[in-house]
Amino acid sequence: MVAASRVSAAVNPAVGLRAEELGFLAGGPGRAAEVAVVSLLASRSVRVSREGLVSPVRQVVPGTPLEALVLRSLPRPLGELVAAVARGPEVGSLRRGLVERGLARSAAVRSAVAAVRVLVLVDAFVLFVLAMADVVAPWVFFAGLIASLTAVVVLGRVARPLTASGRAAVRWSRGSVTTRDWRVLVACHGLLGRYGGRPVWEVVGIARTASATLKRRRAANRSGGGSSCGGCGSSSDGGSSCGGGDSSCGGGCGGGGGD
Amino acid sequence: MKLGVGIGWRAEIDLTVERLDVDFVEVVAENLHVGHLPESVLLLRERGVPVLPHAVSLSLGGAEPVDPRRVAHLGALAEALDAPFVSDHVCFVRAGGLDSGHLMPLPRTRDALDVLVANVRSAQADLPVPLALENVAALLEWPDGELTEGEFLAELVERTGCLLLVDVANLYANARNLGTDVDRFLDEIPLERLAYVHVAGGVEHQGVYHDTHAHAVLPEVLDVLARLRERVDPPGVLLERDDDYPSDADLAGELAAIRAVLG
Repeated sequence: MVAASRVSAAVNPAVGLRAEELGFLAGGPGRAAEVAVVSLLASRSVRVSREGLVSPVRQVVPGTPLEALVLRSLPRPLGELVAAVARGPEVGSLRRGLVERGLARSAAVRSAVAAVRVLVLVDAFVLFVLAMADVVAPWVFFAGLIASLTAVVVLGRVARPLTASGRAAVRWSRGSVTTRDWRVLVACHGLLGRYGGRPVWEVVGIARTASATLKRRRAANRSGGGSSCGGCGSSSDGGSSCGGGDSSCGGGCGGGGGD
Repeated sequence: MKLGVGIGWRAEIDLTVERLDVDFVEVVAENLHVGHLPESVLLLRERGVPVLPHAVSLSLGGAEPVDPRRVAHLGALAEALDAPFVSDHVCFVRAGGLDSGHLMPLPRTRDALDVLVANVRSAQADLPVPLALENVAALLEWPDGELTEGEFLAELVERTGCLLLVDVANLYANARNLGTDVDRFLDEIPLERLAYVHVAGGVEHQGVYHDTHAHAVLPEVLDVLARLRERVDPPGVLLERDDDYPSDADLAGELAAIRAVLG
């Protein structure tokens, strides 16, 4: 398989997204980290051993801050590397840029919306108690209940990690994925995802044992009881509307989250 | 046994080694566990690529007896990999309970040779395959040497029946740093007992040449290989690279350069 050593910085002309940004939108901080690693792999600046050790091949000028962080972190096992890069401040900068461009929502906004949703639910419960105690009329209760549920649904959409523009960008990009451009492929599907009936890690020349370091890390995250969403200092982990439903926090700190 | 041209297998470049056109590989014995061999090494064995265990810790030149556990590990590895022989160095790496972390040169005295011969014979008795021994690069020479390095190795071979692993990069380093006469060395050693040859890169730092295994192979090292080739057709030549691994293309280029010297 011949890799595109470098692709145009703007992989989606509609919004001028870079592959790492697209990866962040589609799969969270870990996905962005995976894109940085694969970008260096495609340019033969790093190699990934069969057991998953990522090591530098030669001195290169990194194309992005995330790539620079990857190179500074070597040598390191693939799973650890992706997790570490996903926790780096560079990913925070990337997320802030997406928020400023209206493609993702900030953690503060999402937290505020989530708090309002809780308040609305509490209001609905209070209304229910008052209705049971005949303090308010039944029609008032039902009207309030309908209003509360509507608000919860609307707020739920507002609380998604991505804005409508962000979701549209991911959708658009998924339509342009090819195996020739590893960066966009990984951004949209993740190393643990599948494309054309094959695991993405296989498409980009990574061994099964190396990809297993990503799997082990994800399992470890779960067993640790922590949610993969919102980890690593980011509130926007999940690819959202591409799946058609609510945001799915597939990325976690270490990426993965293939689909 | 004809080996061809090979490369040192290292975990960092396992896929590269699998992709390169090599006839055999060498593994550092201390880095492997017999019960848990790397998938890459097993794959190479399945392809029929000979895998030669190369030890760095037997300390055969040390005053202390050889550690039987280290010899047993090396032997078990040879059997697990179906290796035709194993190797270590003409050196010591520990003394008085301390580990040097380096391959230390031996005093080239008859007393030191007697100790080395005794240890080699002890190891050979417990190894299931022949043992080859490699000349090391040294930054110093012990005083009161009674033999040249070539004479020392020749007598070692004569008294133990061991094979020789000639590292032309070490020989070049000794020539440059200590004034070793390359042609005399090559003339003195029994080349009919040659198992294979090591080639590696190095760099000069503050007037001293260091056999780093982390730099490109110098043309001068290939010249030493050529001078060996004038005397014998070596059964195998192996490129050693232990750090700062270059691209697959660069490694393939170094292997091609070795093949070109061999003709």
